[in-house]
Amino acid sequence: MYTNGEENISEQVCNALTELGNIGAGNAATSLSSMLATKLTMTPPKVGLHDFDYIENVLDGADNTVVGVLSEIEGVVQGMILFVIGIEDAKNLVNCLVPSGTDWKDTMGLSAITEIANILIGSYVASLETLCGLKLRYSLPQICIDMAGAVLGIPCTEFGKVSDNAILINSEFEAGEQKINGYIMFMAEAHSFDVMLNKLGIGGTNE
Amino acid sequence: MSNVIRVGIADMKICEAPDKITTIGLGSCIGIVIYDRSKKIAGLVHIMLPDSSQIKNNLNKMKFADLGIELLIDELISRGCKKESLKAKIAGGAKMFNFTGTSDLVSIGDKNIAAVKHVLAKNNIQIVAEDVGENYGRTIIFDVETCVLQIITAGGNSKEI
Repeated sequence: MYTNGEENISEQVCNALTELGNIGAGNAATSLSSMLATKLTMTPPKVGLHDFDYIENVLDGADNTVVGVLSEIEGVVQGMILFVIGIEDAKNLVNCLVPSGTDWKDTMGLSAITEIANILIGSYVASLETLCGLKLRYSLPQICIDMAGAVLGIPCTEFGKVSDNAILINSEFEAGEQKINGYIMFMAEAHSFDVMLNKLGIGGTNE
Repeated sequence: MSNVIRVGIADMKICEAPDKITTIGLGSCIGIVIYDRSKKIAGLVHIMLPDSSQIKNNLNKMKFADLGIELLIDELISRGCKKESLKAKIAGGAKMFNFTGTSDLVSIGDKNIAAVKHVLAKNNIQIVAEDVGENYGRTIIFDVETCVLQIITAGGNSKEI
């Protein structure tokens, strides 16, 4: 295990997971670009290891309303991926995809957001599969609109089982005139992280 | 003037009247307020997980229902509260995403609720009021002066228990 109760995730493990996150989010953005059929630029994802309080407040405070889309990863690796954006970004995202005038909060708007998240999550999972040489399955994503603290608390709780902090990937997209700032969080159970890291040749996790 | 003391996730603080104590955005997590009405002292712990014995990394006791609540009780007693006069109000333990199945993603809120109730019962602390479960996030504010717990949801709805 990389946590022995006295220290959190090691630097080496963090670097490996950061790289996974980089590639995953990069591929996700490419997919989104072709789906929106628009030139989409993306700033290099910012990946960081943060404590839970930082993460809960990342989208303008824990009580700010956000949109989260979550998928469960099943199989050899068990975990979850959460895509989360602020309300304004959700509106902009819907405007990129469906006719203007569509209310982002109606069925069509929500389904557009879920679908975009589905594509992002799918590309992210595909990257993890390729990099680690593992076959992964992920569930149909579920959407939730609620306080940032309540939504982000879900992956934090999973991280809480292995660590006192969590890895957060911040990706900023620019689609035409629209700037969309979104976060992707990937979380796997402790044993699943070991499986992935071993596949990457970082086997020193049992020290 | 009274201040509002903010408790973070996996965090605990103590508060004395006329101050209020709050924690923001409880999802599957639970906010447990334990208070002594006569002494006008209250403490709030914001737990994430039910049981520390299942988890290897349990350095931060405030993450867990079992350790966090015990820690809070000890702290209140060290501030001069009598254990017999302590009461509790709890909120949280929601199921935020509509998944089905048996994974923690589905059941962590319920497990937290069960664990919190178990630890409070074991310590003979009565739960005076609760607002748990369902599928929405909660921000809670406890007024130590009146011992009223205000619960606010994302839509801005508010109630008092």
